[in-house]
Amino acid sequence: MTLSEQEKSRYHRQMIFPNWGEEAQLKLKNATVFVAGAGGLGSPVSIYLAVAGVGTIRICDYSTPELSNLNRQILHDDTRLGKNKALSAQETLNRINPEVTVEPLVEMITEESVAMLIGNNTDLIVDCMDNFETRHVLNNYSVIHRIPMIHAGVYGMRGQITFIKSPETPCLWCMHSGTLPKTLFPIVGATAGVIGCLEALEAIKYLTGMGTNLMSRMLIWDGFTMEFTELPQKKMLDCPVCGTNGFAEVPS
Amino acid sequence: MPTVTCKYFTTVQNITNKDQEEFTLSAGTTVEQFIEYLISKYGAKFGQHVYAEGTLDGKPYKTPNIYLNKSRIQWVQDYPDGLKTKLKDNDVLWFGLIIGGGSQRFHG
Repeated sequence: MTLSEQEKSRYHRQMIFPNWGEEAQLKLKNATVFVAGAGGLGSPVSIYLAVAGVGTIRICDYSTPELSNLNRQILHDDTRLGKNKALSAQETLNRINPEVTVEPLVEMITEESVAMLIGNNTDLIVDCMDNFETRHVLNNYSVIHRIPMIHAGVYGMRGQITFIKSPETPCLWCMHSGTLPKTLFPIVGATAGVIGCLEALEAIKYLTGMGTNLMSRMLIWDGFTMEFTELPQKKMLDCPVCGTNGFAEVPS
Repeated sequence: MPTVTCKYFTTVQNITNKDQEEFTLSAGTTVEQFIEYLISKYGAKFGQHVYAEGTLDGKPYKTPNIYLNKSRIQWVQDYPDGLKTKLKDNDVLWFGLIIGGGSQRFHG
């Protein structure tokens, strides 16, 4: 696979970055990323992956945009109300960068559907969900199939992000077990923008092999004070997902 | 008698209506005993945000999501006694640190 002259021109400003060049750009072109959710986080994540030239973006969301989503879900607009979010995302991303492939997945992510949705050629999972039920489904799949996952969450003017790569790092269950009561939570669009951009950058770094990922580190951003706090993360030795006696086993 | 600080974040802060407070405890109070006190003070809803309960792979679990001095109480490397760990002077407990999110539907 090579880069066309148009691609070289489109990505020129990042390719002149030291150690990027055609080699790193081709790594992005050859990559497949599963973006779980086309909402507040999925919007900046997928947009920045698309403009960076990630070859295949598999974006999954079964729901439709509502007016109350539009303060943060910048993939969609008033003309898309009632249209599926994954399909709306494809339309937006194709317009932003027609040179990448966008595969919309109009499905709910469940234990039953996750394998079919993520597939076996995905390089990276990006968690853009808003609930821990689905996050743990993604986490289990990530641990079992050794596909790294970027986890992030947002609330109000606060967000968190970490890079999970089992078995080198703790899994999501090690950091936060189970689920929480469901509530309608506040969210400022710019918060999803900040944390979503960090997720996109973590993905680009991982795919190109540049820099250091947030492995075993949880970065917490407080928009009220503009402070970043980093928390070291450790494995739960008796983790039921990735621990010695966990159910997650690498398929032979 | 140890004095400890509780810091409350996001959904937990909505229940306590404050972002932090200090408590002076009896010597030997464990994390578990202190949580029970906080549940009695703030109600069952507080408990629902502190303990995650459910089943995983067919097995029931009840797991606290609490950080004590920046380490999760479930990490036995740091807290071999887990919830039975005795609180010390100047300990800091974080509740609701990791954002749960959660809507009535599962989407992004």
